[in-house]
Amino acid sequence: MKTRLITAASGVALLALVSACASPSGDGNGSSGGSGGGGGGGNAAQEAAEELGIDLSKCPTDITQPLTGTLKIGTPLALTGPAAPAVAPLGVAQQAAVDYFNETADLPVELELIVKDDQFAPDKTLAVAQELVQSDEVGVLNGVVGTANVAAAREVAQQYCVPLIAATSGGRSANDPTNYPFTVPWSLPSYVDVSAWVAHLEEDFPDGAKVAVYTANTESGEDYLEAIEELTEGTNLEVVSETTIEAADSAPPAAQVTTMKASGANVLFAAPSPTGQCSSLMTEVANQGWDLDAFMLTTQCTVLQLMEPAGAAADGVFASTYINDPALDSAQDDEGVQEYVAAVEQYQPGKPIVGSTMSGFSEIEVLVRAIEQADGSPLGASPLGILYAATHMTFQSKAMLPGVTYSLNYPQDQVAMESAQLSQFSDGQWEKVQVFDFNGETTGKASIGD
Amino acid sequence: MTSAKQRLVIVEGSALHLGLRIAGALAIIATAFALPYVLEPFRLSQIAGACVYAMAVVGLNLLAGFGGQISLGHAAFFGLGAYTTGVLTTGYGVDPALSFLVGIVVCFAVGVIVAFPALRLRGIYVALVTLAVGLIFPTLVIRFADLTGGSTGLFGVTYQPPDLAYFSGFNGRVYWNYWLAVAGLALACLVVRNLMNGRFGRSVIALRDNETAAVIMGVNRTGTRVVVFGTSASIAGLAGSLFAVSSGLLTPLSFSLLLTLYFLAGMIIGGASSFWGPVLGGFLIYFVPVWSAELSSINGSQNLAGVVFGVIIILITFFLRSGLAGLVRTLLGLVVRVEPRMPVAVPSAARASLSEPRLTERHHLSAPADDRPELDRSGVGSTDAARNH
Amino acid sequence: MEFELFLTRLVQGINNGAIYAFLALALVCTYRGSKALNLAQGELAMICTFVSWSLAANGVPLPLAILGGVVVGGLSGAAIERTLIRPLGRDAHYSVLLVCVGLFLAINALAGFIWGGDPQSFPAVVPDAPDDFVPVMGVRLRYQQLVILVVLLVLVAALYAVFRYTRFGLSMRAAASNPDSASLVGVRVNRVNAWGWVLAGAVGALLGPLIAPSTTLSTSMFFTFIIYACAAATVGGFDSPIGAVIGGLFIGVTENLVASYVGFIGDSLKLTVALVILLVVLMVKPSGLLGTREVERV
Repeated sequence: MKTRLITAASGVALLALVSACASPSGDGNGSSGGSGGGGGGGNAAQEAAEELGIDLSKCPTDITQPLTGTLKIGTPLALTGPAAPAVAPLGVAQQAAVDYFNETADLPVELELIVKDDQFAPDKTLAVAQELVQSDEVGVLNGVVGTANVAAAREVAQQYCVPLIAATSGGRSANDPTNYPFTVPWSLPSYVDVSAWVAHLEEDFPDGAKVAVYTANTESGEDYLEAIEELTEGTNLEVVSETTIEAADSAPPAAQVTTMKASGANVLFAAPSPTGQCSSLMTEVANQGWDLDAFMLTTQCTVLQLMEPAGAAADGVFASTYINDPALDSAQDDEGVQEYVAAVEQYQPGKPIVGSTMSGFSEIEVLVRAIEQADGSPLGASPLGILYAATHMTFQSKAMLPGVTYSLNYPQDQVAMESAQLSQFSDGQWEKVQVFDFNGETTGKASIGD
Repeated sequence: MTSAKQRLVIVEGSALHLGLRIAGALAIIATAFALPYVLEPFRLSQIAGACVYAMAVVGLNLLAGFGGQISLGHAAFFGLGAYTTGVLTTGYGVDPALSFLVGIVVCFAVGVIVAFPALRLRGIYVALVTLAVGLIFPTLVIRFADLTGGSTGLFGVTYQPPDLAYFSGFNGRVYWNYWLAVAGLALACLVVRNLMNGRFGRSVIALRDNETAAVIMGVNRTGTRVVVFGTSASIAGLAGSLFAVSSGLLTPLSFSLLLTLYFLAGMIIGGASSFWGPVLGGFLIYFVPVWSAELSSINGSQNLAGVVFGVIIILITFFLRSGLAGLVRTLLGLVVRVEPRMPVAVPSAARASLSEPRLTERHHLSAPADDRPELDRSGVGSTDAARNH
Repeated sequence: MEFELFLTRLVQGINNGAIYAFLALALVCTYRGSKALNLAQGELAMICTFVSWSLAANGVPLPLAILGGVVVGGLSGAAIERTLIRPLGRDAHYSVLLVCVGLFLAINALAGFIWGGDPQSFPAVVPDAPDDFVPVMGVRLRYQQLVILVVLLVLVAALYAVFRYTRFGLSMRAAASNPDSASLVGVRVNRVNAWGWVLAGAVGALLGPLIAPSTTLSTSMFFTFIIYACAAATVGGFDSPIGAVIGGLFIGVTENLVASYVGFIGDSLKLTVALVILLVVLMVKPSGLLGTREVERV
């Protein structure tokens, strides 16, 4: 595990070195060579850039000039391929959000969204991000999904000095602001998710518990496994069994559940792929009569479409939730959810209104808030200003559950989502147990720290 | 044989023929040099990506098109090359160029190992062997995570451009990756062409068309098949190495069965057992999804690109048996005819098929076995082989 | 306790093996006639299961809905054979394989286009709550899994009888071993092959609704099963129904026991175990345990 981290870290360092070497002299793409501090921000811009670790002289364009007219937002997203049915609807919610905020928010620019297909393949994400930046001349990138995809897109963000706001990955390696200051991840990190599980169990099981771990053999699953091993160390939660499942496996995990049950564990930590694997695990646990004292499930499985197929077997399962879901009874009176529903109904009529797409709405909202905050700051709504605002703000998104906030303050606080509502499933609904807030505590743990 | 009336007749080997071929080659080289000045950098990156795919398809074509042995596992060789470069450069600080060589050797070796069980088998069983190999590869990458980065992937694979003014600009890396890919593709095409245009090539074709006859005529079955398999694998491996340095990061998901299916599709669409058809096919499998996605707006978020892709493969298998290359050749044939130089003592009926495999219109892969004179051709092939002994 | 655990794992292996065997049966049906490896078999089964699901969701009683899917499966099999496979001619292994690849991509994308990417729950034909099982020596034999096993055994017995004892079976064997002589003596080779595809489509369409309650219904539900089915059919011999069942059960049990008791293999190399078995069989005895040895000309 350590070797891999070191390999990854040295790889990242190497990349940083290369990207630093590869962008001199700037024959660029015809645009003006950037001379730092030339723009409206003056000294403020220089200071902001230094604080973020950005060398303005290496940018192909002047990112300190406030934007006017239309701001193009680029999103590489899987529109074809096996991942498309699950991922593509996020773009619909993003589009609804863009239209909605153009209408309702007081922005200095008109937003325009351009979504291009990356088939969920990192090499395509790279190519698409390049195309978005060079050909469509987008001013910001938004909402790339997946750790490897974020890792690909951030190279482009870095080279062209284009902010990548609300990159959607919970993986630690995706959050590396020291080497990739232009990339601002968003979504609940697996580290924070597991922190909530551990905090809850320490309260509920003062005498300790035996933990079985079940993770998908995916980047996300590996991230969970790492976080679980790290966070249970030194607590009286003892990991007694570790099992995995392949990403594409659709058979019920009978063997894994049998192994875990036989290990004598009374608590299950589970991070299967956010597919049918969520419900088939719950069903299998119930079918084998494994009487768990606590069943902690990854936040990725919490959308109701993934929970419902498990039926009664899902009752009693705990999970951290942070995005609200229009299908929840508790969300019916929530103003943010109502706005989201109204926005989709108005601008994307006929499209499904489901929890799994709400994060697309929130991704755009993060950007909108950052533009607003930048517009009021000395930096103005320049790319640098937007990036600075996005990395120095705290707000409650309309799409998020009450008490869950987006909060960043580089460099002290590098993790946007550090709070989550631990919920328990009951009768087809998530019910609030308690909100955990680790604000400011997980920098360097859920992100790659110095 | 249709009459040559009303068509431009070019005698093979004549000055005109030679001139046209040289002009064609020069045009390609000129285009390759011009593109960096004409295209935006991202298009150049896309072209580099397409060249890498095309290389893999060219490699696959050597095995499946010319050799007649289908592979459902070429993504594994592509991935093996990619991970060899990735692991060696990021983990052990090996020079990328050296890692390319290592990748080629490793892939050749693994190709040879796979070739042996495949040798004894035919039909779907060869497909099954390669399918198994192709599927095992990603699981091993995940299993040996300490080496490969596992599911998370391997980040930071890169090949620093040489210290030349041409590569020193803001887009220097894009140019460098572009030239690596172009050079790789050219190399792959040359290797396949040289292999196939000689006696070895005739053995390969003879084995494909009528194994029994070929063996009787003294073709070394084991040696030929093993070399074809190994070379095909190492071309795919070099393509993978270039993929690694141009995309910068590797995940096991990138080398799934789906990729193999795309390679196969590229070969079929472009034209199996043609020399430049697979290049065209490689470009198409890269760019068709890009275009289809550009046409579909986000409002039709789940578009029908996959359906269209599948249907195209089926249609081409049916109606365009020699792929786009064959189509172009047929169309060209309406206006131009390349007449083989009259050899001394060969009966005129066998002339066309004798001269070069390049002129072979039909091929094992997509033509049904019973619709045209199979015996005739293999007969010619084996006389040919025999003559060389 | 240790023994009970072993028994549990054995039964789980049999449960998985039954699924592999079931799908392998469908592969055998097409292979016997057309000598084709239908890689799209799983996708065909998947889309038929979606058809059954849609019927059931619209108020059709479940058994009828499943029957509807089976009929669609059989008809699609016939349609594919008639329009896409037969015109390619015999011995066109590679063309057929490529057509199947095209079908695979097209059917999968089509299902995603129509029904979307979210997994759906599928109702079970027998009670399938956590306590719906028969306890035997401490092992839970679930009703649903027993149904799959029973249907599988009935099917294989029926197929065996048909292939072995009926005129149709005789024609099928004749058509497979020597199509030219067969058609000379009056066997309608094409029709026989078409029936192979019909059977395969129907068998796949029957399997889907039986496993969907536990796997959930999604466009990717057969991605790994088809690979296991290939391995199972290879082990048993591609033209033997009984071989397919033995092969399926063998692979299911072996991979489960190896994954559970060999630490190095673990859960992550389960599929690899099946693939290695496939490779070994191909190297040692390509015709499988019960398959007919093909006449080789070299």
